[in-house]
Amino acid sequence: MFSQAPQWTRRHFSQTMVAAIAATLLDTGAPAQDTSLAFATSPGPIQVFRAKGSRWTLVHETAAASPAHIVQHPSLPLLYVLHDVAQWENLPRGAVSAYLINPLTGTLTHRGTQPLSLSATNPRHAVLTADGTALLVAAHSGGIYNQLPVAPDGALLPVSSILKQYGPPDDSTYKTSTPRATIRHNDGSIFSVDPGQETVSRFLVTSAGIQIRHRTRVHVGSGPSQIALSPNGRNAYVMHSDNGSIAHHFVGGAGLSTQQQLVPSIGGEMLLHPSGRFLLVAGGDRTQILRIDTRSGAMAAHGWAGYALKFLRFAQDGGTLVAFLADTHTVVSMPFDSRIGQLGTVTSLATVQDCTSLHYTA
Amino acid sequence: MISTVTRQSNDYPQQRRGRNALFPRSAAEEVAQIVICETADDVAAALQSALDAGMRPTVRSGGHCYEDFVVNNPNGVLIDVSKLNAVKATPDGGCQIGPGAVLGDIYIGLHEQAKVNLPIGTCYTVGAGGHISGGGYGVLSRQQGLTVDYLVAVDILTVQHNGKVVKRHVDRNTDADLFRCLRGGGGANFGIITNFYFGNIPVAPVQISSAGVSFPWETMTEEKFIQIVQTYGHYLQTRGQERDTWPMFTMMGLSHKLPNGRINIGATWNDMDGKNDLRVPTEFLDLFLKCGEADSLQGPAVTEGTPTNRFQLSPCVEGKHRFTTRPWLEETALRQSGAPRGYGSTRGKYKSCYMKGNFTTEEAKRMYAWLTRDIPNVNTLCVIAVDSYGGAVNAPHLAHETAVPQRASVMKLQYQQYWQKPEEDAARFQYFDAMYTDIYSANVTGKHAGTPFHGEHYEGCYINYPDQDMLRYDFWPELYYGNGDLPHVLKKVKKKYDPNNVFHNSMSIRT
Repeated sequence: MFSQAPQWTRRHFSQTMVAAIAATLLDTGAPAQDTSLAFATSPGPIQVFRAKGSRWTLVHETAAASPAHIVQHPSLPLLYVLHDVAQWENLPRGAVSAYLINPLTGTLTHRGTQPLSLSATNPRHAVLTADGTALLVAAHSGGIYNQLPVAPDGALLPVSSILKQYGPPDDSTYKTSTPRATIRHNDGSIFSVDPGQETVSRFLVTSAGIQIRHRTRVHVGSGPSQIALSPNGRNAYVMHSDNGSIAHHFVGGAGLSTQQQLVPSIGGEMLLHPSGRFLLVAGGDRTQILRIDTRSGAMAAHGWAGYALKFLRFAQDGGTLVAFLADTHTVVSMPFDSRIGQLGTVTSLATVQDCTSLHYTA
Repeated sequence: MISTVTRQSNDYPQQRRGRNALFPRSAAEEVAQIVICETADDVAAALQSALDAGMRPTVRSGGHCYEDFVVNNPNGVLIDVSKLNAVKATPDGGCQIGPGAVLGDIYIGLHEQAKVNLPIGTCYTVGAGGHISGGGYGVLSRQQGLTVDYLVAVDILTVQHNGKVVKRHVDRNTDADLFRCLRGGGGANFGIITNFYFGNIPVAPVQISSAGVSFPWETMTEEKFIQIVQTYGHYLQTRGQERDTWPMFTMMGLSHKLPNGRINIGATWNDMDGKNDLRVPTEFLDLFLKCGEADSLQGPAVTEGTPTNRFQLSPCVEGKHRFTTRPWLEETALRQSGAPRGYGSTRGKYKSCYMKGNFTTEEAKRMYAWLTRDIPNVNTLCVIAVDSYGGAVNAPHLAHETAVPQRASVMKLQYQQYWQKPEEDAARFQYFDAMYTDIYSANVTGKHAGTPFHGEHYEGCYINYPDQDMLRYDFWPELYYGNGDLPHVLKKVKKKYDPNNVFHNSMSIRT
């Protein structure tokens, strides 16, 4: 049973954090956040890898209940892991755990779990606010957003705000809200896509709670399931789960503009290059590369790669793509040439059985 | 007209809680506002407003919920329907009851208007909304059945997939699947009820006669205790199921052993024709004379577990029990229950069990052991209230027409514990849970041990006596809703009429 460690209290959490950071600085002089660590989740454990060049070494594994998504604290050695479950401690809700990362050993130490609100089941995605004071969690099955305050020492506090959502306003579909993905805009607002509600919502998350700043209803039956924002924050790309098409919207003062462009794609998983100039779409047994005009935001077909990838992640400089090859259960890397928008040769990094998410910020 | 109570309102401290001082457990669980409605349209407006704001609604009628289903609603909206309290007897022999009507006012209203009655409960201030939703039963149930056995239609507000409130009038012909589930499936699983309609309701008794026998804990032994409970259980399993005994309701209060404490057995006779033939309750009470020295307990009807005034007692004489006879309405409407809602510091914990037959010796032994065991440093005040059951309730076809599958039981047990001090919570919860688990491991083995799971001896638990301790068993829905088709039906109906799971709590139907 994955509940709070019996000895865990806020005081203990804070003291442990201070000790961990101090130990790191004394030993290596390095900052507390070690960017050479990578994390993979599967239905059972969270795996920690030491990533050195083209080699990933498993350094730690810890059991966790259905870990589905990882959010890393921007400045503290902490991971927040969503438990994609419909029940936690016998009640109908999901949960979020905090793990302390030992940057030297890669060891994860469980530092408490906060249950979500009743009916906030199967959390699938979360994002920290820009100031790191709150975690917004999207509970997919519950159609609910939860706000969990984050203390200055990184500890997760109990749910402070709850927002329940419903299906599309018209009667033509019988869907209910199923929030799927969240992303933070440069201005601190948070966008969320909900294929059940068929909307893209823009939230403000403050000490006053979760507020809906704007909502864009996308066309009937589209099922928006993913969103990417350009580095300048002026363009949004929304993947439609019904047919894999991708819509381009401008990002205005309030929310999204009407659809500017709709391009077909193979559907699947979408990732924007850090430069904003390329959009990768991985579906089936191929990966599609779209080129983006950074002035207009318009997309154009560019190329293909013959890889069946999932959980795509770019290195911060955009020079390497890390992803999961499902048919071989391997995490792989490929160089990405951003001058020409081309993926290079695949290199196997590590084996992960039934990977459910990857987190890599090198 | 709607009135709203917020955290800044003077009456927020009372309105934010119900009768059980356990809940809400902390400020973090408290609602943001309480919306007090006067009409069904008010309720619809309040509900829509809550939904549009993305807030979770919970519903309150009388405020007697045993668990935290209503008031544990962090920053949500509590919709109070206590003012929807109309009681109307209708010319066709039926009646309409608003969800906010309390049981005492229902008895009075129906009697004054048409000399009719519903077999509802005995707690005057319990609200109709929760009581009827969970089945509803009382001292007339052996004779007349459950409350929901007379339900013919319900007005209810549900919420569509798109978050819009819909008003429904459901019955056997319209939304029949929902109608069945509202007949005992538990409060606030599917929507907010704004009116109940009953048909062909029975007449009220002319008068009630009550008497009892009483045994002091001072001279109680394990052997005597077993004899008492098995005498009670044997009667209800056998003679008590014969139709001529159905107008009798009995109760046995197995109180925890305390100085001057007693085990009381009471019998009430519903006299329908004014002849007041008391041979059946006399025959019943006489059975206990063989259990040792018994005192005759004069009415009013025994309140299980409360200390008995010694001046009410006198030695038992066979065939001559001290019945008190009162007009039915006077007897029924005298029953009060505690302080006004929102006040008082009494904390309570409850459990339940439906019994299909007599107590086994091992089961009775374990009950005795726990009732004579103290919680260290705590005044262990608790009682196992054993109500007679069966009779008209046990019509098999009603298990498929209602959402109350328990139609073969002869006794219904309610475990009750009350205390004042919050610092005693943990010890009391632990004691009660351990007691219950041990008692229901006497006759139930394997996966279901520790619970009164359906089988030879038991028919599970009563949803109106909810117990969150049962959540640790993955089969807890079957405990309350049976191991037949009903749990599946409830899930299907829940998904259909509440696709967003707007109406939820820790023990609501999960899809």
